[in-house]
Amino acid sequence: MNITELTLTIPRQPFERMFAWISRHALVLVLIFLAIISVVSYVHFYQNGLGLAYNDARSHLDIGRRVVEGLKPGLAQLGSVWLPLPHILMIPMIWNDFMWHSGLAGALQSMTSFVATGAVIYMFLRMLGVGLLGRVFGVVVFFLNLNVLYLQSIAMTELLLFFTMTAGVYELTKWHKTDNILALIRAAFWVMLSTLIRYDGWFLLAYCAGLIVFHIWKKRGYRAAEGYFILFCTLGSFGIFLWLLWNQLIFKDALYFAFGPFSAHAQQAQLETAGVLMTKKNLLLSLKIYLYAMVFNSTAYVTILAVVGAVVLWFDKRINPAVRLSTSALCAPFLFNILALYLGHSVLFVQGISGNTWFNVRYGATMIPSLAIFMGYLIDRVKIGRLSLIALYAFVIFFSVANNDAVTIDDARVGSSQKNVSEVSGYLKTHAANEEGFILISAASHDAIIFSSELPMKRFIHEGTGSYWESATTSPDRWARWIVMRTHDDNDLTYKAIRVTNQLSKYTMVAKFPFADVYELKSEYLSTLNTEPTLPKQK
Amino acid sequence: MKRTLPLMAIGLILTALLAMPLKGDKLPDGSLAYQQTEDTRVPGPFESSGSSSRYALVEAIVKSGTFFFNDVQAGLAAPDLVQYNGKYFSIFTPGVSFAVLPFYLLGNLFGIPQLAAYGATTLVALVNLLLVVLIARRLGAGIIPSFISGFIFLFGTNALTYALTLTQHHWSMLVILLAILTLFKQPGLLRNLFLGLLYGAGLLIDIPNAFILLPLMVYAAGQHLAGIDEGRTVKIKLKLVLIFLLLGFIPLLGAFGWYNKQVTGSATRLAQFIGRSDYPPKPKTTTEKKPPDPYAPTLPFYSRNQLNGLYILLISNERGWLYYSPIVFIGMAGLFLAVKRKETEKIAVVILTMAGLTITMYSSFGDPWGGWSFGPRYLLPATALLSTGIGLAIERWKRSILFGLAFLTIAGYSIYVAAFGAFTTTQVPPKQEAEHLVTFIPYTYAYNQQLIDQNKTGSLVYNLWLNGRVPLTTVVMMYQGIGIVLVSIAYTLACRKRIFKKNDI
Repeated sequence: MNITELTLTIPRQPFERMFAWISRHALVLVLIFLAIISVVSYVHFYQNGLGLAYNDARSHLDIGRRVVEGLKPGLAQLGSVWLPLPHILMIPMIWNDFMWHSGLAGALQSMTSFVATGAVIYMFLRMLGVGLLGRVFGVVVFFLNLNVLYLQSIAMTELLLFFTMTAGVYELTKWHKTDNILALIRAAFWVMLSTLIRYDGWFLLAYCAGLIVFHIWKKRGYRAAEGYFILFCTLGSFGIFLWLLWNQLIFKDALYFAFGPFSAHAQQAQLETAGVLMTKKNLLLSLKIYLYAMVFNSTAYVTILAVVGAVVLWFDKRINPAVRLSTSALCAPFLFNILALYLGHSVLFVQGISGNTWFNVRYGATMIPSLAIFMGYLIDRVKIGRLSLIALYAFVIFFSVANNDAVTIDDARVGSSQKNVSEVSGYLKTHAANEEGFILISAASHDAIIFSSELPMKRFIHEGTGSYWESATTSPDRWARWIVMRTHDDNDLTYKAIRVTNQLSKYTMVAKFPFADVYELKSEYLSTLNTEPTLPKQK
Repeated sequence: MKRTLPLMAIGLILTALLAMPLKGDKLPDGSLAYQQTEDTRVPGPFESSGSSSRYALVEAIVKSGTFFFNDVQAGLAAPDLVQYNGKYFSIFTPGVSFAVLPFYLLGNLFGIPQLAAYGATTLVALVNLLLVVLIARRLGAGIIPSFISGFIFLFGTNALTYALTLTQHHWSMLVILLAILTLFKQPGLLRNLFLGLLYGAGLLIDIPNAFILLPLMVYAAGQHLAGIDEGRTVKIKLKLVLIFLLLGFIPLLGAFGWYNKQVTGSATRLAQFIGRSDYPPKPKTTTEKKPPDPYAPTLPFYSRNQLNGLYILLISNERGWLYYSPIVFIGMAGLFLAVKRKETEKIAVVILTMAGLTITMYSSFGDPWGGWSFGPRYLLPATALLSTGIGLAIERWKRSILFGLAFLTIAGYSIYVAAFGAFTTTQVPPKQEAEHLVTFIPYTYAYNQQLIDQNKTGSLVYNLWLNGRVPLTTVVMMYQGIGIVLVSIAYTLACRKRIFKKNDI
């Protein structure tokens, strides 16, 4: 017996069986694990109040709610500008007050998408021939990102977009690899869904179509390329077709979403006038700002190694050149965001570079699934030093999580993506909850107040309530017991409409807050006030 | 005899080159400055509190038998000073001060305590040069390429500047390089004890060493585990001598805990956690305290700093390797070559991991500049580690004329820059501070060049014997020239196959 050594003899078979079982069921295990992480994460952010910090999250929830409840419920409340799929998905649940006010109606799709995206990352790496360690590492890079964990816990559109875009690229790459037409159809389906979530999906559609044409033209000539292009785009662009049709039918202008008064174009025009749209026509600055946003969302370590991983992938002769080219679609979000910033269609503030605040910095997170795939690939290919790279990653992520390093949370807490409307909404909650009467308010400007007041949607007269809005802005004293607006601000549609009526003299300003003022109808006019929705049902 | 004479000559040249920029001055009465009084002028040995705080601790131990400072020592140590329970002590871990204590005592006998204490660091720098040579040899480089590795490490990077201070850098590098060299030995009782001891010493010298040495310790521990495939079973063997890694660590960890208990009252409360104090102390203001931000970073390494940190440390003209010592990148390339060789694959990975961890850590640090400093001082451990690869790069590409030209140009430039810091000061401000100074100071080595043009130097040899006789610019140029010529000769010799064979030691 050697006393300087401890020897343990382990039977091989149980471990081999266990490892084989894990390998066979790895995807299911990933799904279960991510589902648990998702729920824990949601509960954490719900409890600390960050679940509803994003102004846009509250607006998304309100849009979904207005479809099912309000003075003019209906699909038309889906509105324009923001693409409709996230709100449509909320409809089955958002009728429930808890699901609405907890944000769960919107967060559920983010959570489901989070789990699904993790699975797609795993499958993508498996398709590229990456071993178990690399696949799992790719998923780890995705879920151990505080920004992803936060975005998956809230009613925003990011995770749904991540899922549909990544799934689309996955199926497209599969088609390049296997030539299976069903994979191409599935790719078109997922891309089509992404076109109904955010405009990033529209760029992805064009990029994927370009890849398909290039691939088939090279392989089979022009006619075949034309055929595949039509096949892909018929399904892929169906969502865009529906959206244009929707805008034409509801707003009488197919491009209302692009050029209407609430469009990003209109918003950006105002910012340009104010001199803060610095990325417009400045390619270098657009590139710099987006790079910073991407790095801040994923850490410099992950970004740099992912770039190395991408290069390794694209030059790996073991993989079919067509497949390698198809994976370039994973960089579509990067190209789209820079293009959007350059053209002035998007605005992104990174603190310290474009002023002293954050805004839309979450756009940098759209590359995270792609970075995770590239990193998983790199870990698989680098046999020597693999453990070192993983250990360094662990070091970086430990401190990232321990230090609460999440720019999306900073944007939600203190950046321009949040609005602390608690004073206004608190006032309404206290003074209007137990009183009768409608509240006249612009949803375009004050959706956060509507949400945070926790009053039923049918208490509010806003732009989307049709004849109620028309009546209330013409004769507010007959319809609005309270008016919430930013006085002297023509961007506030309520103020813009009310000021020409000269009816404000019938109101008393009962509260003045930084975000908005609250006016209440004087008591002598209460007898003629309508407190019930008496107008005929509107189409 | 054949080798002894050249080795002695090399030793003498190295000693002379190191002695030349040693910091000191003479007083009007002809005696040596800084030995009995603490003059913090720039350039000078007490120009930076990174050195003077450690020196103050040495003085406190010798003169007062305590770790606490009197008023003079507190003033010398500020702002690297802590005030706690009405007493002042150094914010730094005591390892460097303990290590130079014998040298201070010896120097005191001859009236040169400061010179002797600082000379200890210079001596360690020379040892580090030798260690780099030895490691380069073990990695597979020939004698002359290995010598070039060591020479460039010390004379072609900011390691030279910090060899003349009482900071933690060369002591940390000593521990790290010794640990790497020890790793080449097979696991055994003495080897493990020594590694454990080095880890403890590293912690005593500077807290980040505990992180930097971690990959090495993990690898060393992993060497005690072996799996033998016996068909139906797998035998896992664990060598119990592993325990000596821990046993070697415990004494110095205990010493560290004891020191902490003396100064802070608790073995686990570090001076750094209490925070800096000024001397004289600033009056307390009665401003309203803001509630703490629950999302503010609480730990020192913040990943959001990393992009900027990487830029500052690797590329920028403020502190970047590319600007101060680009030769390090050639060393990196050499180590990647070592990774491809089976015999050196694992150790090369360990070295690269430690270097990578150093870069990752300090790029995430709130102050990658290292305050007022010359070059990327926080990257000095990585500089030493990567320098071991220079010899391998030379071995691999010495037949390429293009490589030769590039190497000599880059090495020459690195030596040229290194000399500026050594002869003048480490006190180069970061850009963001320089721009707000009432009198502008350049934030690159341009500041050092300015001082040289003004004939201001911290070099004792120059101040004692050459000042007024030879312009400082001439002396520095000659110094740089000697370094560049030495490397060029060595490189030329390395390109001649028949002179020295590999692994001849």
